[in-house]
Amino acid sequence: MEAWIALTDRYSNLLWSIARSLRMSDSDAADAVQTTWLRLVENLDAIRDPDRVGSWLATTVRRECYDISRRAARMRPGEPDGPDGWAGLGAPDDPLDGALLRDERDATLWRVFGRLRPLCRRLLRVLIADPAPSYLEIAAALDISVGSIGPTRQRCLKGLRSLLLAEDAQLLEGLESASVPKPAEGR
Amino acid sequence: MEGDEDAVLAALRRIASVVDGPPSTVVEAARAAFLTRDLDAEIAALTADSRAADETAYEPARADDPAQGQWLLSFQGGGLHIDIEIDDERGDMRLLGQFSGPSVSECVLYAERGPVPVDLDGLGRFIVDGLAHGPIRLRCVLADGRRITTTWVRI
Repeated sequence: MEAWIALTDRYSNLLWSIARSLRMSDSDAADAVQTTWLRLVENLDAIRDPDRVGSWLATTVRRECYDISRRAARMRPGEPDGPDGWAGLGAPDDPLDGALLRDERDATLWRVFGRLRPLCRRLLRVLIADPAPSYLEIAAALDISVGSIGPTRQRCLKGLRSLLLAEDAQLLEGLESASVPKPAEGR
Repeated sequence: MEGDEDAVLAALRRIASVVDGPPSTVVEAARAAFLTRDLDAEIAALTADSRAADETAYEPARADDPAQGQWLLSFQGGGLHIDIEIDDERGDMRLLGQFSGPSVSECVLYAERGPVPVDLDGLGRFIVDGLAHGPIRLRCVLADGRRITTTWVRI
């Protein structure tokens, strides 16, 4: 049971993030995540490699979300119409308003993040799960190859940076300078 | 490592956990999921789901019903075959089930609102009303003492 709790502590945030990256509402995301854990319990004996649990969970929650979207759009089976497919779906209750954030810079950053192209927002929403997911887990969450994550990530971060620069150059500067190692720590 | 980019990501990670982390109910449900483990029961697998398209391993039992809010699930395992029709009236769901195979002595439906006893009539049929969206499963004890449980399915 202790090992199970450690597992749920480690992956609950990632599974929630994946559901959110697919624009699931609160209740649909909760359903998808809960079903995923129940399926893991069912399949515990079949998953021999502990290193694969994360990507198994990521794949499973993605499929549950697809299933929920498909049910919501029963008259349009398959990928939703529109250039962005699943990523283009709007969420009924969008958590991107940032109203909960007291820090103005945080609110700005979060709002700008919400303006990213849907595909980038989807990738980054998974990337910023806590703890940070492995590339295998990200690939499983987005159903893309591990090799394509790096270049897409670069492109999306570049897009985010230019949006930030246009919105609030000081904010970006502040983030950057905060991350520069202090001289005493340099080699 | 590209320090500035990681700083932006790190800030977003911190913010996302504050604004949009998993609700405590979701984390609690994840922990409690382990308690559903039943090592001795045989699993009745989902063999058909009329909602499923070709992405999943499930074979569609029939085309989508144009009368929305109704679909069919089938489970099979341990010699038991269970067909369930689900009626969804705006989130108020009703299950109409039919068992065939070995005789069943008792069944319980696990759903969002907790375990619900399932009464089978002489022909192996049952009705459960007033269910909400969420994962469900049936757990049955056969007359010969074997335990059968269906896989979880989200309704």
